[in-house]
Amino acid sequence: MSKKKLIINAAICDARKVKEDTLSAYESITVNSAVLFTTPESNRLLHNYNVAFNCADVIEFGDDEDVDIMMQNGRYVISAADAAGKKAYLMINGALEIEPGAEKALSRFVGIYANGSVTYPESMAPYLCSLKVNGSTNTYPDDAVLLKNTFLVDKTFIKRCKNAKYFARKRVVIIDNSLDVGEMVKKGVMFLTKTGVIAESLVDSAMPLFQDTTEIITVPDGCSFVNDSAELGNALLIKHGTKLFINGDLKIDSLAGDLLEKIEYLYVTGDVRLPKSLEEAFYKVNAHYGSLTFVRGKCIIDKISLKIDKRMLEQNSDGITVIDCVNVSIAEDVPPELILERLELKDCVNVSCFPGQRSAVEEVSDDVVNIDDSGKGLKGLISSLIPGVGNLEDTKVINATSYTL
Amino acid sequence: MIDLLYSKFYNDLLRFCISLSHDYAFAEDIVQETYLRALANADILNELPEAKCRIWLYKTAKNIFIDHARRLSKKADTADEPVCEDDYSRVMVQMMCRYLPENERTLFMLRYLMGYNSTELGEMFGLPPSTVRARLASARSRLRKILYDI
Repeated sequence: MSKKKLIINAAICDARKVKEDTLSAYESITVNSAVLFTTPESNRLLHNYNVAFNCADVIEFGDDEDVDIMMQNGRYVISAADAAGKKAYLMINGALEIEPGAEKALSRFVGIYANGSVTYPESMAPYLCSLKVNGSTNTYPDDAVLLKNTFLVDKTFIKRCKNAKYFARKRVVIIDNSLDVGEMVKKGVMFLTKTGVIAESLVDSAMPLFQDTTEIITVPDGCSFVNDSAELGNALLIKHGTKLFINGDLKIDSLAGDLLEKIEYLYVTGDVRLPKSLEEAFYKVNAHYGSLTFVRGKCIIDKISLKIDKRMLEQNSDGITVIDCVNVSIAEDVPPELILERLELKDCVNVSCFPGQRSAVEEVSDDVVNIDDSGKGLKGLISSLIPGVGNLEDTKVINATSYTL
Repeated sequence: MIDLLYSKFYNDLLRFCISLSHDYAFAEDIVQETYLRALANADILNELPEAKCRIWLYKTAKNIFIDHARRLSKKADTADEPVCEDDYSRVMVQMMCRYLPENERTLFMLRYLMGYNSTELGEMFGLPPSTVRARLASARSRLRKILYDI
């Protein structure tokens, strides 16, 4: 029986203890990972077999070195409390915060790989030689207290704050006009941040809390701060009112026209997506926003795999807009006329269709990486991206966050 | 100092760990490991006021819990599961990433594999969302040309 091929798709691939039996069991092995861990011994073995690496970083440990591999998605904090424990390699997809006094804890990490942001006190820089960052690094003065990137000042903070500098990387929000801003000024609070979002009636009294270089955004009294992406609906207005500062994206549905009329103030830091039919009503709101995207009918966003069939398009008479999806396949039963009438594809990676649908798909696609009408689907595309892999039918694919080979 | 921390905070810490893990025996293990770490760091804790020691204990317990949870999920992740369309989609994105420069590769991966949107990526990378969108558009354009040539 012929041997299978192996594709490993993982953020971390640990090949330190790879065995000859494993390598010899496959015709070829392709490793797609951000980081690959090896030892001199495993390296020697790997090079004796048909193993191809697609790795951003390769870390070689000593043959006898005992290192834990840690992986974290989201936010991770290294504090003085982490000092005890085995040596470790840490991979973060998200935000890493290093607290003052964490010098000893950092020495535990033989390497840190961060996809995202890393924030640390200025004096910590010499201890970060093992740090690799794909993203941004932010330092703050050692004498400052680290707050969340976006910090909403409330009554509790005012009770607890002291004569100190407070660092919030993105913005400080002071919008509750019942807050005793004078108390913070009296205590000697200073915010180090890029932007201050302040209620109109508090602006004058809050000014001494910010540096001269801080951008100040004034919002009307009674404005609510929504610290996430949102969809315009009754629930949003009932919970937050009609004056809104949305720190994220805002989606507006075609049925939300009457709600749009109720909006008194709107500031959106990200993208606003709405149907073209509501364009005029939206402009009347006089909103501030990062960018504006017009969509058609039902909006489908962020799917890894999506299949569009005839029933789906027939049920959505206003059409369907597909945005930022990885792989969209169009079923064979969808006639090209229906695609032209009811489908829009924006910023997707791959669209698989049938030859008769191709020209219609091309016409409704905007910034799509690849349109494939070969009938081979994703497997065909992957085969062309991996030289020599051939037909994926005889290939074992492993998909994992981290994988030990 | 450790004796004091043990008598004062053991029960509260155990309740906290039960709320994290929903497992009494596991919570006891976390608390035990927390106090072992406290012993190893006695020199630091002796210098801290009681309130800060309490914070230290809770943070350490939480980190231990996260480490355990991560190890468990790692074991689960490496299971040999059947391949589905999503898996092929992820492989495709990974393969495409090899053709991208570093400043586009990470954004492309976090956008399409992990689902962060441009606004979230902007927050994460300290970039305006419009710059994130521009880099993603550049990555797509680069990949289009490459795939055309293949």
